[in-house]
Amino acid sequence: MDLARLRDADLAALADAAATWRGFAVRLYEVDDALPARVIGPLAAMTGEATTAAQESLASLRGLLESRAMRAEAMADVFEQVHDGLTPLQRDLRTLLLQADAERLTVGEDGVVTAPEVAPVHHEYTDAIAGILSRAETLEASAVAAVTDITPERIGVVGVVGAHEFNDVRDDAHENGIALDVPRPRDGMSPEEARDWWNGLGLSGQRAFLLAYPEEAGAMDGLPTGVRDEANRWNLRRDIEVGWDRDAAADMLAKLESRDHLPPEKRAYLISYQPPGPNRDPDARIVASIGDPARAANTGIYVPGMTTDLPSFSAPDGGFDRTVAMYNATDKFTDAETAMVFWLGYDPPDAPDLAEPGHLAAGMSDNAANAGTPGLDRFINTLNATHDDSIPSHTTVVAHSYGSTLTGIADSTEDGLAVDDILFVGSPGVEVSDAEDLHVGAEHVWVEAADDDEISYWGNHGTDPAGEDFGANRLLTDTPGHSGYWIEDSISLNNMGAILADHPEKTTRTDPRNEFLGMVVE
Amino acid sequence: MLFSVDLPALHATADAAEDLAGTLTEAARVLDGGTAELADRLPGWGFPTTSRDLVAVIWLPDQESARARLRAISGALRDTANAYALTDAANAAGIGG
Repeated sequence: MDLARLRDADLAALADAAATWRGFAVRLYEVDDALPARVIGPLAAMTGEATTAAQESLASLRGLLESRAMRAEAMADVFEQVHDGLTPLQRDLRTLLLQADAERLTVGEDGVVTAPEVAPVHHEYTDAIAGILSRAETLEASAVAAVTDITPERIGVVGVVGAHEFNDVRDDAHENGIALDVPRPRDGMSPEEARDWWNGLGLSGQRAFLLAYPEEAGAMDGLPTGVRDEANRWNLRRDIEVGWDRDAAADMLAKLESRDHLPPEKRAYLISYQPPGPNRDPDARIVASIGDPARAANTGIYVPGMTTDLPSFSAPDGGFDRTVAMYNATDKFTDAETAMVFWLGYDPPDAPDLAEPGHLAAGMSDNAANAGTPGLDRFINTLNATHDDSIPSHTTVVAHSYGSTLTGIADSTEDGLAVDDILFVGSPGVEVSDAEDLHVGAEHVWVEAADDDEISYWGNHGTDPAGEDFGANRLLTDTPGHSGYWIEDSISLNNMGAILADHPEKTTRTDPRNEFLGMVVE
Repeated sequence: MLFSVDLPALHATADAAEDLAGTLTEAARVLDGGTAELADRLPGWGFPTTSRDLVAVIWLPDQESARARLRAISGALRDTANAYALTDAANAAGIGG
């Protein structure tokens, strides 16, 4: 580094270059953000080989844009760091030169300072200048290395699709956390604090965090629904590549993507995803929504029962289809925005093994329900805390089978659940004997129990909620068995929709059961 | 109609892909200009020159690849829309079908 180059450098050019790279990154993020709604979504409504190829190409393109944008940000960081490092060095150098001049010393272009009347070389000044120039040279060399290192070809991802590319980028981001300046949240933030932190990041900071820490972003209460969906879909795609139940994970992604062409208020969002372990032990944890609960005037939370897992989510008439059915049923009763959440934030008991004595033990036990109640309570509190204040909010839990046991425990202990209505469907009991024992209040407790739903007669978790003694509002059902309540256009489903839409006056009611029929599963 | 195809949607999607390709073109142009300006304003410095060289040989071609994908999709959508429109016209005139 020679003296004149540092002394005369237009260092503001470095700040401008940083802004150029930052702007470039923002443009790439904007295109990446626009693709789902403007191109990928509309294409999803079309079929054919060419459309499939286009979809694959666009998925790959998004990965490309994201990795390039992150690297462009890193370039901006390099230029900023060099600017910040060189500016004080240049200032110190200029100050030294002024002082030397004031003392009538001569500074050569090689940085050697002489004072002819006193001594041939003025070592103090010379050494100071040499030190400054040496530091500047080190900075310059590291900048050259960084600029070369950050280029896209170094990660070799051009045109590569999928998780491998993403993992490369993420791992690289982790390794270069400081240089890439990926923002980090504080530990222990509340959902409201997390929301404010996120809003303060700006687009580029948000994208960097999302790309570098998708697991964290996907699980962070308080982040926007769309952001969590994006992060969790990355996590799901990774699970499709390397997980324990890849086919089921792929089926789930297909279900979610089947609504990507719809407007945002009707799309599917993956709010939380924890992949299953080996042999589905533990089962996956899934929270998915049709519509955005943060903006919905009516939000339903469907708590499913025993045997619910990753495969059953996507099965015909499974968790996803039921959630869509309830969303559509609600939508019929209201013009306001609706959200219907599938909440599998707990590990329900698996299917009983009928060949084994005591096969019903798991379903008889409250263990899984007790373990799940804090999660449901926390999820509902988060929904309320992050709901758009300008929109009224009515929240209902629709709890099926063993899910009703969990919900009953959750709403009868501590301060209960922060919801307006609870609807028990096919319930084997909710561990309280009277609807008045629930915090939501008896007038807001609703029950659907089909006459031929054997499980609803079990009573193995307490008083029959459809019975006279319990004191809930029983709704008419016209569907068969324990799993038929979601049949399209049925009275059972329409009644759910009316409760979810906060129109109880539009339900069809029936009298509570006045006897225990004592049906037993052999 | 012989086919049930939403032609306006096809055109709108093609327009969107072309529009986004245009955004990338403009972004690449600004980047190219910015790195050239940096090299001009800091003559004799190593990394502005390195940066400019790498933008020319890696970053810009890389962006061109992204733009090309969007344009290919846009073109394919327009071709599809035109083919359907022609088929419909022929069908209406009693030529096809």
